[in-house]
Amino acid sequence: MPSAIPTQSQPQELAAQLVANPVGATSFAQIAAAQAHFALARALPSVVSVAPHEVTATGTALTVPIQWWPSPGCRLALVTVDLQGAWYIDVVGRVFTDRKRATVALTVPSGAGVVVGSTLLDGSETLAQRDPLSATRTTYTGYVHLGDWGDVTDAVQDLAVTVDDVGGDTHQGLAAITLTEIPVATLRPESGELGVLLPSLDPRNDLHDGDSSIGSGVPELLTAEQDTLRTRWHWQIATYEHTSYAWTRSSATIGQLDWVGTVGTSVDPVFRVRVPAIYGTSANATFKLRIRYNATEDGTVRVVRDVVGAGTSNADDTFAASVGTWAVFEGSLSLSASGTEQEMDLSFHFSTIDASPVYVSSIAIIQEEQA
Amino acid sequence: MDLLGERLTSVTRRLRTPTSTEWRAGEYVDAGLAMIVSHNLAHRQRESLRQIASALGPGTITNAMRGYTFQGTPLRDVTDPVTYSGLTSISWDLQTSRRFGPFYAIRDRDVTDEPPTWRTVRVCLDVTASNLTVLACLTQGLEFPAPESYVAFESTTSTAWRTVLTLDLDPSRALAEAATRCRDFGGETEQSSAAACSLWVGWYGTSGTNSVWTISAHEVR
Repeated sequence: MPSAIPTQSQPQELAAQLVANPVGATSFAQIAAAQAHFALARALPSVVSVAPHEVTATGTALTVPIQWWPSPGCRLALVTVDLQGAWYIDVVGRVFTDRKRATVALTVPSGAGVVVGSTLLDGSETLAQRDPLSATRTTYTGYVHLGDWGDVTDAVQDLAVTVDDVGGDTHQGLAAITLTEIPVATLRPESGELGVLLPSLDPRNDLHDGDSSIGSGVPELLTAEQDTLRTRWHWQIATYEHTSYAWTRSSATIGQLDWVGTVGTSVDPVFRVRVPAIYGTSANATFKLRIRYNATEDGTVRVVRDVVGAGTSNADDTFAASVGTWAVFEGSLSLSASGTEQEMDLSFHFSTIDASPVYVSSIAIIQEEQA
Repeated sequence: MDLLGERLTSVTRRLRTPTSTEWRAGEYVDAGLAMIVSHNLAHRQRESLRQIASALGPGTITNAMRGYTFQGTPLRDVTDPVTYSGLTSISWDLQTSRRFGPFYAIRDRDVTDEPPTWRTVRVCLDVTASNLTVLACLTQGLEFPAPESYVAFESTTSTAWRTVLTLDLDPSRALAEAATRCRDFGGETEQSSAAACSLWVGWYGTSGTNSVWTISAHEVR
């Protein structure tokens, strides 16, 4: 029987657990299960929300990558895409526009699938580009389903959103991309999903009682609490995975990227984040640092960590030459939650050993499992 | 009682609990372990704050651009109010703003003597400001920012040169949940009740050099 997910957290007073030894299913376990289910299936992350830059009109297909470690409670995620597009002619000082067409294709990992939203996002449907004389956005939506629990490997997955031209129309890229996990109404541990089998918390029984058909209440509950850590915090930025449009640096000295199309090399931009403090604010938590890049030589990536109200430190790592193809660097990153309101400013520096260019299309930081 | 649950006194971290393989079948859960599990869940609830958006900004902006025209021609779907204030300071077109989300809001913020409400969303902008106004707005679903349809709005003006500006958005109770598809596989569909909202971030410069380098947003308590 599916377990209904509460739409609000289910708080519990610690003193409630002083009343009995052993504690009962009703005084403790059912409330704890509801709280664990809320964390597993309701408080799901917004995986990515980025605003790529407008490109000069082109007929080249351009892909923006998305890195996603799906939460165990997520079965369907919402994808939204806004198109760029500013085609117009100026007739004696008055602008006339026409909406060119483009296609958008969403590539999903093995075991997942695309579900139609406002469009198919399959690269076949012709979509109107933005009208520059309109402030409102033209947003296209689609969904990614993850099949049954286990159909998609429990690891970081690479997705891609590709915009392409239609006929003689050129396109100018993507204006916004979002992937966000949708809270579910029920979890189904009886069919293999994570969560607590509620029959194992029958208030008529002692909590430790178990049955081979319904599981044992205590391990179920302990595991569910540990599994809540698998609803992972995501941070990421992304742009076009193409050497003419991606962020880049050509230097043997470590330094800021050329943030092509937006900031350029004007400044070293910082991104402010709030660092989760699973193990408190004094112990750094470990995150997965994952970068999609293209380089002909080995190089170094540096994450500059400026803890708000405290000091700055660098985390350096090396990446291997990808021989002209797009590859994934994966390392670990330690982040401190000791800053004012647990906030930290991040910036990203790169170099290669021979000053050949390194191109970067996506940088992601994802909380690792820490049960 | 705190809506997020009660934590053990002076403990602000998760505490280790036995794994299912370490647990010996037949043992009882005593009050101590029960408190630790409750504490962990309450701590988890506090730390479940999410990153909402992270992106490069437009870079150096064009001063005095409110976006009600494109290349001198009025836009079709927004009207220039002529006098500008608050939400109507800009048109919220692509020349003057970015849209992020939608994301699904969570209602677990305690308000004294009132029912719980939505989490606060903090927008942080890395800017160079000679005389720069930045604006942030939350709308229901994919709605466009308009005086009659937003659920939170804040703005600030800075002359601080290179700095990180912060805007805290407290969604109003007008933000409502709606039926949302949450499963769709193998012929089976399911809907949940969730409140989707979009984050809009805009800018307006009056004089000097004004730049918006990055836009970040996350939840805070």
